[in-house]
Amino acid sequence: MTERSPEQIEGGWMHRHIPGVHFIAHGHRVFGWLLLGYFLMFPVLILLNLTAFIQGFQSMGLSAFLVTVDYHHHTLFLRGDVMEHWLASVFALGMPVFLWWLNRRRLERMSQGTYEHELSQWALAWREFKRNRVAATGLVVIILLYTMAFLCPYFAPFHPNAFSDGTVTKFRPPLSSVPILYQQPTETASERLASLRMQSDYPSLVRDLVLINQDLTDEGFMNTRAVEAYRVEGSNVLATVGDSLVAFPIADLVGSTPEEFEGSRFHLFGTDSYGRDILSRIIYGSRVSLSLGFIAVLLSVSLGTLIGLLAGYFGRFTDSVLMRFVDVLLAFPALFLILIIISAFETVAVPRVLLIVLVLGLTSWMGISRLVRGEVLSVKEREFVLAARTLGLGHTRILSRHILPNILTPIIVNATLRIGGIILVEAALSYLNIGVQQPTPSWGNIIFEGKDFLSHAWWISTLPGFAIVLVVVCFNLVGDGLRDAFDPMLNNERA
Amino acid sequence: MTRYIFKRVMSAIPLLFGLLTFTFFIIRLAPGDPVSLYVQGDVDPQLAENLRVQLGLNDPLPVQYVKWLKSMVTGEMGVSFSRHADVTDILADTIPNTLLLTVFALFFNFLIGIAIGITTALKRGTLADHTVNVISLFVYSMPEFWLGLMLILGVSLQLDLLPASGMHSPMARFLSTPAYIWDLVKHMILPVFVLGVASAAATGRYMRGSLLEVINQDYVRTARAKGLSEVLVIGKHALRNALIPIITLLGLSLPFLLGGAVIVETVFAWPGMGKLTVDAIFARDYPLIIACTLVSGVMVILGNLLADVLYAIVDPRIRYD
Repeated sequence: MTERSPEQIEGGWMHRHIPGVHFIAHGHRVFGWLLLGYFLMFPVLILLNLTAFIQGFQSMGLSAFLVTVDYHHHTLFLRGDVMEHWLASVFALGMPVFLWWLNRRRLERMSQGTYEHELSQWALAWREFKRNRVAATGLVVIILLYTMAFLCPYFAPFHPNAFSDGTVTKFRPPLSSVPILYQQPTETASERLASLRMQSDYPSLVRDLVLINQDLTDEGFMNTRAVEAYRVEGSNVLATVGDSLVAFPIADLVGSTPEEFEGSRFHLFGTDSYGRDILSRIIYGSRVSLSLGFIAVLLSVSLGTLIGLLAGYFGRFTDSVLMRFVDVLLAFPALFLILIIISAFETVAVPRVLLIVLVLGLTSWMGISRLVRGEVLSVKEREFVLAARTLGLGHTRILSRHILPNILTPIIVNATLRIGGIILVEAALSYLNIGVQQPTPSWGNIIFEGKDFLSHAWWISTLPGFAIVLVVVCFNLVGDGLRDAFDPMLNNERA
Repeated sequence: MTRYIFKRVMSAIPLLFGLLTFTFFIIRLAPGDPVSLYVQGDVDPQLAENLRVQLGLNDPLPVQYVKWLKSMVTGEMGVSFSRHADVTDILADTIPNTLLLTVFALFFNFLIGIAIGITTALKRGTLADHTVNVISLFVYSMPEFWLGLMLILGVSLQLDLLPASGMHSPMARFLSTPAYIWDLVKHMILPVFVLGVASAAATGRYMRGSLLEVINQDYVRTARAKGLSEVLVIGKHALRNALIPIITLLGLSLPFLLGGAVIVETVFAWPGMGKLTVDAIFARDYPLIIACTLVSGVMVILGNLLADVLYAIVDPRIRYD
């Protein structure tokens, strides 16, 4: 690539403020279009879900204010399901801003002419990685899946736990739609609020917050009735519900003509044994699977790296003790250690998700620590470490500044390849019904739930499995791609 | 060599000891009254106190630990309270079932894996190679339990070819011996396939890499140069050396014989160690959980030991002193 004059890089407002445009204009077409598409996806999603987006921020702001002035009622505002909406709103706003900032920073660096010259190991690897189409596709899919996990409420057609009129809606096969009747609201929001009797210095704010939160977490099936079929007869609507015929007075429905009170719910992936939408559950389930996998690997890699560093660097006694400990832990067959710990600590009052993350993280670091120890053993004999020691640097500094950066690439590759494995283990735990518990959906527990209905509702267990396979395949592809990208030698050999 | 093997066996002993210690401390660290580990449900306080004395739970921790070690080493694993039977007897009943499954799965794994590895290595870069690689990637990215369920759905429920679960048909007892064995085999096919297929994909990948590495070596070129047939070059010269890492892999797979079938046994309701462990966990049957963990842990240690020894025997290039 030739050097560019600053004016060329400036390239106008579009180049500076819309990520991707610059890359498209300068030959990096695929990357540019992907970046642009990803960037533009956010405004579109926000516009499509404007109410939820704004309410997320309103709820967050009000809660922040009320918690500072009136902590006693915090349980009322600080609810997990509401916080998910805060996260979605913050992510939907934050991600494009972050992309914009990243883009600007890169262009600024380019215009200073420094960027192209200093190709660090990372930049080289990134360039190599982008050339590997398969691995790059894997990365794109992973990014999209994580985005979806953050923005579940915007992607999912229904609330994952929402169900009504089970006899009618349960076990609907994929691509089916259920007719529904809209009823007049029987109970208004303000009536519900009256029962909440809040004692606060800011009753109106509390009222607003409760209303907003109610809107956000509304499962959306209120005041609707799912029916199999219906016909209008005089002043009544006669509907088939299960085996019986139920009459609804038209006066109780919204409007008076079928166009006004009739609707339908479309279930792309069908419904489960309660009538909950499988697609929505899979989308929300991605939260558990993706975040758990990532955090557990982060935990296990940090711990494994730390222990490997200590064992390899200090050697002798430290090494023997730590590595014997590793040997003992490795002597437990893969799942048994996890099973025995979970069964022993099941009764502790921590959220199940946290317990699973901790157990997965704390039982999978041994491989990494062996890897790191081996790398440290070879790196610590090199001249630059000797030089650092001669300079009188402390152990901490030598470890963190001189040894760790030189062994980072195998750690990163190994960590990426591990995420897939951890996601599989998490799913297996959910399948054994000791993982994440209902009603929180996770891919594993949706499969677990569907296994008893395999003969007449195959879709419940089948579809989440594809999601797991997709994610694990992508992580494996990215891991392999990273390994090749970081190791040009290996690359030549393979070709 | 004998010295190396002796040393290696000796080093396994502290590991066994560590395994026992670690299990003891996990159970003791667990919150709650230890009496509840031995008795289920609400116990009246006097009885609990008696039990505590009887079980030595009032002793200082080191004393308890030594006692526990002694009982484990002498094979007194206690009584399972979910099955009202001696833990040793239960294990003796279930271990053969698991072995039946896993031994065949191991065969399947290595036969298919090595075959796949050789084929893809020799046909490197062809469509067949790519296809097999893609299939392998998907197979080992698949949750075992899901693959099992999908096979049950397709093969058992839709096509009605094989039984979906269990080890015998309900009426198997009344069958003649050949029919009995045929019934057992039909029940085994699906679980063995699920257990073996993912590892076969991994073995195949490993074998492919190993053979590719060997094929480029000088002695293989020499063998070709002196005019040996391709079958001899690959079969006699290349394969022997390419199989060395596979031997290690085989050794590392040995622990899988007892510990690897947890999920598959649960999916197919196979009455083996894995299902036993899972059931024990749901019943909070601690003596049984501990016993299962220990037995399979011992298996891992023995497997690794065997792998090292095998490796030393197979690869004379490595000298141990």
